[in-house]
Amino acid sequence: MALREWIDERFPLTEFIERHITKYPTPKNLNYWWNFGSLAGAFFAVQVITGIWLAMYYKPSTELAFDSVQHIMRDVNYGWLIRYLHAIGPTGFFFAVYIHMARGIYYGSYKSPRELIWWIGLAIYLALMAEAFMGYLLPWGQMSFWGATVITNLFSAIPVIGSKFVIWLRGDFAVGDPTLGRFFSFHTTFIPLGIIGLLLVFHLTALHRVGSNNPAGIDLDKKGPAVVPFSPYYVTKDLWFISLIFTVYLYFVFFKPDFFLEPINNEPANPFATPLEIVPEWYFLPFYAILRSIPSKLGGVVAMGGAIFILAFLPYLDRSPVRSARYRPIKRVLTWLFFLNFLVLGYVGAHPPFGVMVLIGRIATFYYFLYFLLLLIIPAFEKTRPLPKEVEL
Amino acid sequence: MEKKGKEVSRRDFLTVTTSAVGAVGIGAAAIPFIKFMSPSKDIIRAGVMDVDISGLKEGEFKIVMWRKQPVFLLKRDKRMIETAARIDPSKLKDPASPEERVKRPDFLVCIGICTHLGCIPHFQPEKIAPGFDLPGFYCPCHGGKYDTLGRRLDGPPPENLHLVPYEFIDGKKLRIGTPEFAGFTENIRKIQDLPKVKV
Repeated sequence: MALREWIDERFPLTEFIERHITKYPTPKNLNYWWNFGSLAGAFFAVQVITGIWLAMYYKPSTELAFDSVQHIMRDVNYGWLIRYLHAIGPTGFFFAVYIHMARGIYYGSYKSPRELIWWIGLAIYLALMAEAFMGYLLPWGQMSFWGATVITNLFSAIPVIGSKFVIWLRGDFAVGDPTLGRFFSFHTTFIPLGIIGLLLVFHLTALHRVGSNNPAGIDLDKKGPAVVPFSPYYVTKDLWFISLIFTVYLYFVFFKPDFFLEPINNEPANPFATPLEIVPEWYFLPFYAILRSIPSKLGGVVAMGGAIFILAFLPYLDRSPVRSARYRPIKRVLTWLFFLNFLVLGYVGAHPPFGVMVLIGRIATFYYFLYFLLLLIIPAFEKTRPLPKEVEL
Repeated sequence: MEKKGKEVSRRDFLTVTTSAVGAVGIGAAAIPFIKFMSPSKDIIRAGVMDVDISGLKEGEFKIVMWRKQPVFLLKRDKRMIETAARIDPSKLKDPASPEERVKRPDFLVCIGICTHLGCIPHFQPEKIAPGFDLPGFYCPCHGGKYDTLGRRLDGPPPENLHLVPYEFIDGKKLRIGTPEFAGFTENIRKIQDLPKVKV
């Protein structure tokens, strides 16, 4: 391999491949919950590629945006395919990210020495939400317009400068052409490549510094029998799992493309007529439910923002030295309840805020925050099960 | 597992077959992305255009834009037909007889792009240039000269002006192009070989 040597003298190619792929030590005992990070990465790649292609025909102007999407759907070769891949991709992306985060919470992957991985991941999640929200405006349908109107109006809850800030954010006195232009710019350049892409590199760099957590939550000897090289073991497992989930993803793309899309977004934006019901995409529903559960404008916005930011304090709220909930009977129950509660919030968010829905929403919101308080308290009395010395296979 | 001689191990076999299937999959997935960049259906359909030619007088010249390319329409008068007929096709660099250039002797339809470097030649109703005392087209960029059949007479152009599919509809309208015909890049030399105009 003369070429390989020539390159290695000038660029650490072999070193990089060995360090991060062929000799990167990975715990033997990872279960399928550890597959969702690479799955999210695969969805990210699909979004970037299809996005680059869509931008070839999409026109970011209020006059042309809606029609340019129709043009892509009807006239451009395979435009329907690329657009459906891009429109349904976020569902897969958020599905992967939520399970990835839930795995981190359950197995205590946020604990020392992985706090930075957790925080970088949260930043990716925040950027992802901004990315999805801005992208949703681009087709310039009814839900695009009114969703953007409502979400930008959230910032009007900021005391004193709120209303001025909203105008600055929109570049107009209502969501309009300047808003569409800046959302397109951010959505296609800075957020995906400058923020998400960069943070992804940081996320993996930090991960490869300390290595993956594992279901037992114990530190493994990186040279010991409990680890296997990432390639071929986890390359093949990841590829297999990505293929499996992509089969479901492509089923929706080809056979049920409208399943995750709002029918009313097939109507062009009309600033004179608000749709009867404004429902965000499913991946925002739990936070939307928290927003609606608080009967105060500022309070709702603070609660919604706080619901996300409180995750950043997890490494300090949860002081137990035991990582994995497998060996923590109380945290285990509370965490499953927390996940169930998150789904309940999503259910509430999908329904109009009347009658019993309001009550369920408030109880679920209460438990969402209570969970973090309980995590702070339970180590004082929780009897943890003995940790294994070596991983059981 | 140790490899003995030429024996193919189970892992080698799986690696090769998996890679092959993966490569085929990636290749197939690339097709929509490549075709996405080809002209879209509306651009393809825009390849057929109707032009009203009822107002064109003898000797009158007109340029219409078809598929973002200039198309020359020339209602040829007697002098144009005669001067062009006198030229011996075999002495041309790109030999073509009048019958191979036009459907009707009194009407030229061709793509108005100089075959040298893509400029639009000027119509010269009296004489093309000094020393070329007949009507035709002159390209100001590098001195390409064409007769009223669009045949290259002199200068750097290597070929005659390219032809485009067309047909006359009741003598009043001209229908130019087909959905598939690209235009300048498709140099079909004889008018008889051009694809039929279809809507």
